[in-house]
Amino acid sequence: MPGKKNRFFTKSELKQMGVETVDLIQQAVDAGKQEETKKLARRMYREAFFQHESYRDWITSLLSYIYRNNGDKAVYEALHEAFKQLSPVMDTYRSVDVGRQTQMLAAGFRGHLSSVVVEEDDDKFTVMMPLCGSAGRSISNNSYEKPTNFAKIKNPQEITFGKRDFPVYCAHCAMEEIIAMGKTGYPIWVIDIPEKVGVQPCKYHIYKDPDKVPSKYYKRHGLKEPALKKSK
Amino acid sequence: MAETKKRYFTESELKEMGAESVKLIEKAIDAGDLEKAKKLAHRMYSEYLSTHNIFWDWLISTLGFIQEELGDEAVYRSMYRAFESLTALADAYRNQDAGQKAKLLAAGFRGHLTPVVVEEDDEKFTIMMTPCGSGGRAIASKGYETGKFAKIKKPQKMTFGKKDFPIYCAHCALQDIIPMETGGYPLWVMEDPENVGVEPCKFYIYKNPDDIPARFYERFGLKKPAPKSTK
Repeated sequence: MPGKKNRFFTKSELKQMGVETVDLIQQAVDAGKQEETKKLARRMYREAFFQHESYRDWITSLLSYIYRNNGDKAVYEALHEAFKQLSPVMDTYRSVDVGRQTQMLAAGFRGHLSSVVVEEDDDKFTVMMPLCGSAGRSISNNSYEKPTNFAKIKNPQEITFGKRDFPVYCAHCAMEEIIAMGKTGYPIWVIDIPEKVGVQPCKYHIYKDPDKVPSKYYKRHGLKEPALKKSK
Repeated sequence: MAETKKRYFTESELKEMGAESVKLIEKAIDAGDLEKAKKLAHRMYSEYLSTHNIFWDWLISTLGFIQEELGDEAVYRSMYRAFESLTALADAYRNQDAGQKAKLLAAGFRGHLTPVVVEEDDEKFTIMMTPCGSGGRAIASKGYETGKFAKIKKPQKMTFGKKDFPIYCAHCALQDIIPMETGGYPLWVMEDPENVGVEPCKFYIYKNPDDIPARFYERFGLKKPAPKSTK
């Protein structure tokens, strides 16, 4: 342990420590420092990764707290309250074509610091995180087991896509569908939940023609598909 | 409405859409396309910022829900539970020298995608986000003014004794309190300004933890530990 008066850094080092990494990347590119640029890009990734994991775990911890103290219905309400505020984001999605929607969803997934697979067929786009960087990573690192012990929702219900022992954080994916369908009758995307959540990827489908969204995605939320071509 | 059968992207475009920006930056540099690398760095920043802001929006909403349904005490307990699980991280941090601690805290703050100011004097480091990319960004968004976000009305430990305190900012008090209660010494201590979210909060890392003023303990009803000769 250094004694008092000992200075660890020069003024210049202190200044550099505070500069945003994205700005340092620009500087490194402009100076033609290729290896330095790569190094800084990886640094920015690590900084964002740490922040991402901290936020996700904090949210999961709060949802676990709500589940254990107030039960399933409260988790539903807390998620509904949070995600209805994302309504403007959903409006933005609806204002652009499906190609752009897919680009936006892929960008959102890349924000979870995960690689993404995007497929296109005649009817739809399918977007997946091979290892889900959102909930999947916390499932694979055993955060739902002791000692972290995040909650799983025991009983099958709407926010668990009808599954038992469903990771509490993953319930927000159901809520994203519920809010979107509740607003206009149509979802923005629909999700195929795999048998083993967090191990196999969830598949997000964006249908090129919303009227082609299969009725099963509505029925699982107790909804009817909208009448065809009804003022979307 | 797009017709079906229409394809929007080539296979190569779909593949590129799925690649992580950090990997594309490396690829662009290897290909000598530095302008593309710059563009991708901005893309990466936007992706991270968007997720960061969705997370804190969700967090603040959830904290508000807990307050409304269960009260301030539950807000305190739920945050205590969330942050006490970071004990291993806190221990790893505690074992670093003060210089490394300052570097780690600055890196953590840069993860909020905001510029940071780091100062050093004889006894401590002072680290600030200017502006705060965490709670300050939520305050600047006017979410507390419009009632979208909740405030903690009554002065208490997690509000640093302030009234009408932004609920999200209470986690900073817990980050002081938990290490003090579990390890005797804080990892850092925070000086909250008069106008939270407008003026920067100052995070101090003392080179010698015994030099941490007693007031930083006393404001949480704790007693400063006896000096350790081994430090």
